[in-house]
Amino acid sequence: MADARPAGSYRDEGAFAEILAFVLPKAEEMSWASIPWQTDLWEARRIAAEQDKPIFAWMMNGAPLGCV
Amino acid sequence: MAARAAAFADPEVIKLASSQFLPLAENCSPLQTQKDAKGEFFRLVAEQGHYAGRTVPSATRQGQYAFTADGTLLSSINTRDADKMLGMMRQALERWHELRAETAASRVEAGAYERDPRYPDFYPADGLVLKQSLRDLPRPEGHASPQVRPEAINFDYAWFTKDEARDFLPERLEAGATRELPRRIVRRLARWHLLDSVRGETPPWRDEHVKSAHLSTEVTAVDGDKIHLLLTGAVRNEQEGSWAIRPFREKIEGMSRGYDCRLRGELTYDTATERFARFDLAAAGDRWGGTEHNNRQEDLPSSPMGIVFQLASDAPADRTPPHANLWDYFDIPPDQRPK
Repeated sequence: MADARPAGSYRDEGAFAEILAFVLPKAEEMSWASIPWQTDLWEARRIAAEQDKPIFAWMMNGAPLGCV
Repeated sequence: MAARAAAFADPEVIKLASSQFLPLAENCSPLQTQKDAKGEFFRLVAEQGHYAGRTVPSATRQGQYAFTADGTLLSSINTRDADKMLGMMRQALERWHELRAETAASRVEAGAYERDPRYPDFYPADGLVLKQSLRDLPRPEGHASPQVRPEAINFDYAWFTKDEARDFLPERLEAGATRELPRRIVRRLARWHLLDSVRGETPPWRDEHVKSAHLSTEVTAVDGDKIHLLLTGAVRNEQEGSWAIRPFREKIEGMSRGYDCRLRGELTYDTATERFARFDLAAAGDRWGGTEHNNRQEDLPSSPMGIVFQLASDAPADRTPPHANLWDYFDIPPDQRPK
């Protein structure tokens, strides 16, 4: 989808595959997701104890890996 | 959102977080007040950190914390700057090694605990979990509001219980069979997911803002256990009123926001596993207006936006909840909610 379409034409059925490909993130936009994040503090605590590692927590008001 | 593209895209941050730590990303809003062992443990850590005791301008405890499994803080910071974050991580590791040289790891009890009933685990392990991606679509030359943030992309998750996942299927699983999707499915997608969150979070729509919405599926083919479906529909959401379009600023009268889109999806349901094997759904249409935290203040005119839903994995990161009050999201009656 290199070029913009005229207003309204994104609704064409034929645009489905183009929209899918355009909207989905590219690999270079997802490097942060290569970190093997846990998403539950209690479970992270259990695993950290088991692996004898410190926890690195990224805490936000809102889910950091979701819609913020 | 900015932190994902800044500090957490730094190769050294990724390397250290992945190899030297147990990395965790979680919403701390509930944890700041949650009345159970998990909430208490978070507050034990946070009250040793950068916002300890703070109540003004807010009581937020967001940021990055490094700590031991028994709750000893190693270091903390609240930053999107990769160099500052690396400094914090290295300091934490230094402290960790000092602690380990002094004492052996203490035993940690992290078994089951009685959850605060206000925060149950709503994750539909046997249902349908979708990962949502949102971004602006290209704008025509000469558009009233040229695109200034083409890199902006955001994510969310959509959850459906096992019963709700079956709502996508017609009664008869044979080619040509159709189904108008029930209100609970249309409502959830329209109100919580067909939103302009490309540049930042925005409030969900209320029922009265959903001006029109219909979604239907049709069985296009049956291949053994695999039922292939086409999902089509259209939704128009619109709200008018007074609200701020910059964080913590005054409300402005006469505001309007909306998203007018068509949807098309190609789905495959496996009757043997009772799960979707494919769920590719795209919405495309025009959004307009802005809200307090979605960073559209300079980009209010109508412009095209796309939203895609696909099956999420079962990795911990893909268990991130939808951006919603989940009691409202699952339409649980007020008399069935904890006080």
